[in-house]
Amino acid sequence: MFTKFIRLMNNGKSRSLFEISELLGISPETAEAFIEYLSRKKMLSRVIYNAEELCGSNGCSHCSGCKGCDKSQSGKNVPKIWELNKKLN
Amino acid sequence: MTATLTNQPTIALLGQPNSGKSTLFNGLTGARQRVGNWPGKTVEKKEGHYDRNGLRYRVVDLPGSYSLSANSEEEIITRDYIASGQADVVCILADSSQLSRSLFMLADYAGMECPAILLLNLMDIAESQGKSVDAEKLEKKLGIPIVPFVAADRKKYDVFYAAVERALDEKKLVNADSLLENFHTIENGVFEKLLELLPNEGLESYSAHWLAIKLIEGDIAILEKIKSTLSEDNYRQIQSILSSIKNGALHTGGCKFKWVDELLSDTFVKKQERPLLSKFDRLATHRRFGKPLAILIILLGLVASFIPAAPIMFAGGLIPKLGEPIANALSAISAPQMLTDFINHVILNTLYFAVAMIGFVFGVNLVFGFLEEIGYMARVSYVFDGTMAKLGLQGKAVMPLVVSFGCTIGGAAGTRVIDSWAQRVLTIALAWVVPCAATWAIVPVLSSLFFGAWAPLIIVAIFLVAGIHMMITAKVFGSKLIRDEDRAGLIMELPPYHKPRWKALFRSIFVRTWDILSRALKVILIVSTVFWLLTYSASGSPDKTLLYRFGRAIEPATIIFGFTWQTFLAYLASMLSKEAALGVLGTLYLGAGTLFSATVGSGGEMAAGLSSVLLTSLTPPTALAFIFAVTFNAPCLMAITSTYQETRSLKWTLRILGYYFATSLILAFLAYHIASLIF
Ligand SMILES: Nc1nc2c(ncn2[C@@H]2O[C@H](COP(=O)(O)OP(=O)(O)OP(=O)(O)O)[C@@H](O)[C@H]2O)c(=O)[nH]1
Repeated sequence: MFTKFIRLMNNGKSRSLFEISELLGISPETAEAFIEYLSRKKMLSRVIYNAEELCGSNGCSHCSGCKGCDKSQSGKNVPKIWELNKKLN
Repeated sequence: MTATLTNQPTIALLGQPNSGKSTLFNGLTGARQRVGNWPGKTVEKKEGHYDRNGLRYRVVDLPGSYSLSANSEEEIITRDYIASGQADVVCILADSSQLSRSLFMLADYAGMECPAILLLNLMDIAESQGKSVDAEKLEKKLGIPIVPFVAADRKKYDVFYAAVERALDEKKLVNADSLLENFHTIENGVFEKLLELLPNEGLESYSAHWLAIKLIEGDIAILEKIKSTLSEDNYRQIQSILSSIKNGALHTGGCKFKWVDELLSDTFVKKQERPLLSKFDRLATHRRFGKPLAILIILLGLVASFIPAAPIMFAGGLIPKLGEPIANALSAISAPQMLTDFINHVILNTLYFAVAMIGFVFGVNLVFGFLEEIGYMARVSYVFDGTMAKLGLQGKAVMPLVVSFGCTIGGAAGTRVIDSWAQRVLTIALAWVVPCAATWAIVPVLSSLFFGAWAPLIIVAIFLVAGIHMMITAKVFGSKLIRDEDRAGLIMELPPYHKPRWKALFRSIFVRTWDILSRALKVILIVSTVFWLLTYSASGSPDKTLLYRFGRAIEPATIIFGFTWQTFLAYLASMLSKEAALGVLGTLYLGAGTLFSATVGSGGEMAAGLSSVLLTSLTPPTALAFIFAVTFNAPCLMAITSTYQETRSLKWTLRILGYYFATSLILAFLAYHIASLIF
C-alpha cells in the first residue's frame, strides 16, 4: 500500500483525502490514520499556514489592523494539508 | 469468600494513549492498586487486582504507547513484558470512535503469542457519532473475544469479566493470516526471505513473523535480541537483506493499515451523511466539473453582490446633492469660500465614494464569507490544483492565492510555507493578479458609475482577464524562476460542510466592511485633500496650476493608452492604494471643475454631482481603460513592501512592479481601443 501511496504522491498532484482513500482502496478513516502514521514517521508533514496570514482570506483589507478575524476560528474551514517530506521513488 | 492466592491469572492492559486504560484499571482495581517503577526504569508501573468467583486476578497497566516498536522506553517495556510470558491474557483497548487509528496497536500486536481480548472501548462515544461495529463478525475474523465496552460505566463490566475468563480458557491468539498475506506483498520478497532465516518457533512470545516485521522496520533491539539464536551465516544474510530495505516501517505500516481496513470493511458501519450533500460534494470536487462549477459559483457570487449594493449606491449618489444647501448655508453665515469649496469637493466626494462602496463590500463579504463558512472555499482551492500545476506552482501555493482575494499582503505573507525561493517569488508574482478586497470595493463603484446596469458584465470581464493574465504572467516569470523543480504531491483533507453560524458570520462581515470602509475613507480624504490643494488657485482658475499644466502636457502621450491626464494620475495613485484612485479622480474632475465653474458663476453643475461630471467628461472607452488599468496595476504600496520583505530581493520586487506597470498599461490600451470599436 505504501508503494502505491508513494506512486500517487510522486506524480505531483494534490489529492483530497477522499480521493487518496479511493485510490488506495481503503476507507477515508483508514487513509487519515495512515497519513497520521506517515507524519509520525516524518514522511509527510502538515503545512501550517499562520492564522494571521489566513485571516485575510475573507476580505480584510489589512491583516494587521483588522479586528474581523477571529483567530480561534480562522483555519477552521481551511483544508488540512500534508506534503511529502522528501522525494522517494 | 476469600479469593485463592495461588494460581492468580495476570491481565495486562494494552492500548494507545486515551484508549481508556487508566479508567478500566481504576474501575477494576479500585483501591487495590500499587504504584511503583518498572525494574531499572523511571517509567511508572501500576499493578492491582480484583477478585471474582473465588479467584484473584492481577491487573497490570502497561505504559501507554502508540505501537510496539522500539520508539520509546515505554514501548520497549511494554513489549518485553508481554514477550516474557508474565501475562496470561493481554487486554487490548481500542478507541471505538476512531477504530482505524487505534486498531494499529492490534495489528502491531498480532504475532505475539499471548492470548488476547479486544475491548472496543468508548463505545458510547462511537454510538453518539452514528458508528457501530458488528462485534460477532469481527470476532470470527480475529479469533479472539471482542467486547464492545464502556470503561467509564462500571456497572457493565460483566462482559469484560466473561471475556477474560473465556480467553483464559480458550487461550486463543490473534488470527493474523490475512495480515501475513499483506506482508508477503512487501517489495523484493524480503518478508519470506527473513522468515526462512529466522527460527521457526520465534523467540520468547514473539512469533517468527513478528520478528521478521520488526527487522524490516529497522528495529535494532530485536536484531540484538535474536543475534544469539542465529548461526553466523544466517545473521550475515539477514544483515545483507536488511541493508537493502528502504522505508521498511512505512511498508509494514501500510500492510497493517490495509489489514485494519479489511477488518473494518464489513464490520464497521458509519451513518451516512446527508446524501444530497455528498452528491453535491462529488460534483464540487470532481476533476472535470468541479472547476467550472467553482467559477460559476464565484461569478454568480460577485454578480449577486450587486443586489444589496444597488440601493446603497443610489443613496450614496444623493450625497453630492447636499453641496448646494451646504454652500448656501455657509454663505449665509459668510464662511470663507475656501471652506465651502473644501466641504463640497473633498468631504462630500469622499463620503459619496465611501457610501457607494458599502453595499458592494458588504455583498462580496457576505457571499464569500458564506461560501467559506459552509466549507465550500476549501473545495475551490482543491479543484484548482491542476491549474496551479499548469502555472508551475506548488499545490500549497493555493492558499496564498485564495488569501489574495482578501488582501495581497496576506497572500505574500502566506507564501512563507513554500520552501523554494523561486516558487515563492512566482507565487507572489501571480498573487498580484488576484483582485483584492479593495479592488472589489472600487471597481464596482466605477463600473456602476459608467456602465450602470452593465456593471456586472465588467466584473465578469475582469475575472476572465485575470485568468488569462495569470497564464501569461506564469509563463513570463516561470521561465526565469523555475528550474524543472519536481512538484511534490499534497494531500488535502477538506473540512466537512456545515451550517453557517450566522451570528458570527455577520459579526465578522460587519467588522470587515467597516475595516475596508474606514481605510477607504482615510485614504480618499487624504489624497483628495492633497490633490485639491495642488489644484487650488486663489485666482479661481485651476487651469493655471502647475498640476494642470503638467497634466495637459502629458495628455497627448497618455491618450494613446486611453487615459485622460486626470485618469492617468488617478491610475498612478492607485499604485499607492486602490482607493486613492477614487480620491484623485473625484478631485481632479469635480473638485477643480466646479471650483472653476463656481467662480465663474454656474453653481448648478456643483449640485449635479460627480457622477454626471464624470459621465460627461469620460467616454466609455476611457472609463473602461481606466477600470482595467487600476484593477491590474500594482496592488498597493504595502503589497510592494511586503513583496520585498518576502522575496528579500529588490531586483525581483522591481521586476514584478515594472511588469505590472507595463501590463496594466497594455491592458488599458487594449480595453480602450477595443471598446472604441464597440461604443
Ligand atoms: N465516554 C467515555 N469516556 C471514556 C471511556 N473510557 C475512558 N473514557 C475517558 O477517556 C479519557 C481517557 O481515558 P484514560 O483512561 O485516561 O485513557 P488512557 O488510555 O489511560 O490514557 P493515558 O493515560 O494517556 O495512557 C478520560 O477522560 C476518560 O474519562 C468510555 O468508555 N466512555
